[in-house]
Amino acid sequence: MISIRIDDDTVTAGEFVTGRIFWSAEGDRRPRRIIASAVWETAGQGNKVRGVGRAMEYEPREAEATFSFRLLIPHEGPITFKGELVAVVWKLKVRVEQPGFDEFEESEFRVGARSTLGRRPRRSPG
Amino acid sequence: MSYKLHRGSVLPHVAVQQTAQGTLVHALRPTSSEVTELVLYAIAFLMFLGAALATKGGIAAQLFRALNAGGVLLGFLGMLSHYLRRRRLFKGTLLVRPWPIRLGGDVTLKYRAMLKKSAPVSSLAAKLQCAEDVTIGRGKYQENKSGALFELDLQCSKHERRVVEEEWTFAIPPTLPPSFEVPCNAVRWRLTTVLTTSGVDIPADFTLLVIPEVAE
Repeated sequence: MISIRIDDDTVTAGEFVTGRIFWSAEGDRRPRRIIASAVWETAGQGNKVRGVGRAMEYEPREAEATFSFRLLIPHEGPITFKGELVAVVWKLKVRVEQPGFDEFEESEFRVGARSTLGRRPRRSPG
Repeated sequence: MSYKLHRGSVLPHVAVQQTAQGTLVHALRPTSSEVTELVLYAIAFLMFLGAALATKGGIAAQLFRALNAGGVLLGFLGMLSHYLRRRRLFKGTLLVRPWPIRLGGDVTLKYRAMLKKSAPVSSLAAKLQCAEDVTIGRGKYQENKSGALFELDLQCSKHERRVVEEEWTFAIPPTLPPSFEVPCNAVRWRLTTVLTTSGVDIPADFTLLVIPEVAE
């Protein structure tokens, strides 16, 4: 079982998305590694495209594990937005690589435009 | 659902020239792919024309082949006229301050254009546009769609001149998305202008770069 907790579900481009991931083994399968990645995806009418902001991996030694993540969102974005034809969403994706089927979990968060003054700006469109 | 993985920047690459007054952007010129497309259309027309001139088959078959050749000829002439109109632009530049452009920030554009042989320009129309462009499907089911998220008509003086110079200052709305360009999905900021000379419209378009930063 995987559970994701994101500290702040709205971050700005150039900031870190932080949080914790809880994982517990089902049965006696031991995962090789757990990968957490901040991923953007297009969600509009066009053919689907995705990109990976940053990713990190963790090697659990017990049947349960909790670990923190801190992933940088690129300065150039993209930011979360929803237009008529193009939309972009950001997700924190977790993949547990283990014998047999891998386990997956994901949680959405928003990325807004950064401010020239370094303050948190207004929310991004959409 | 299959996703294509994109690596690298999501901002468009805009070729610019830095000057003491600001950043100079040049008007988009006809690309080599447009010229290739034009040549392919010309070859296709010649092939259809050859087929139409063949005496094989009845009148209905010959008429059908002639209609096909006529359709390809119309397509070719349309593309050729668009290409020749764009070629009439001798020089088109845009001085942008600041660069890159920030959401919610003020922008000053200094436009300067001249046609070949110094032909007089009777009117200019200019528009700032934030447009979405997508490609849907693949192969013969592929379809391209475009839509404008934002358009701003810019004021232009009406008198006839050989060198067109205009200056505009406006604010970029902070609620709009910044530039975004990945395969099959794009949000493009551009300035589109149309110069009219002797009743012929000559387009000159410029790509602008808007970054995900809000000016405060």
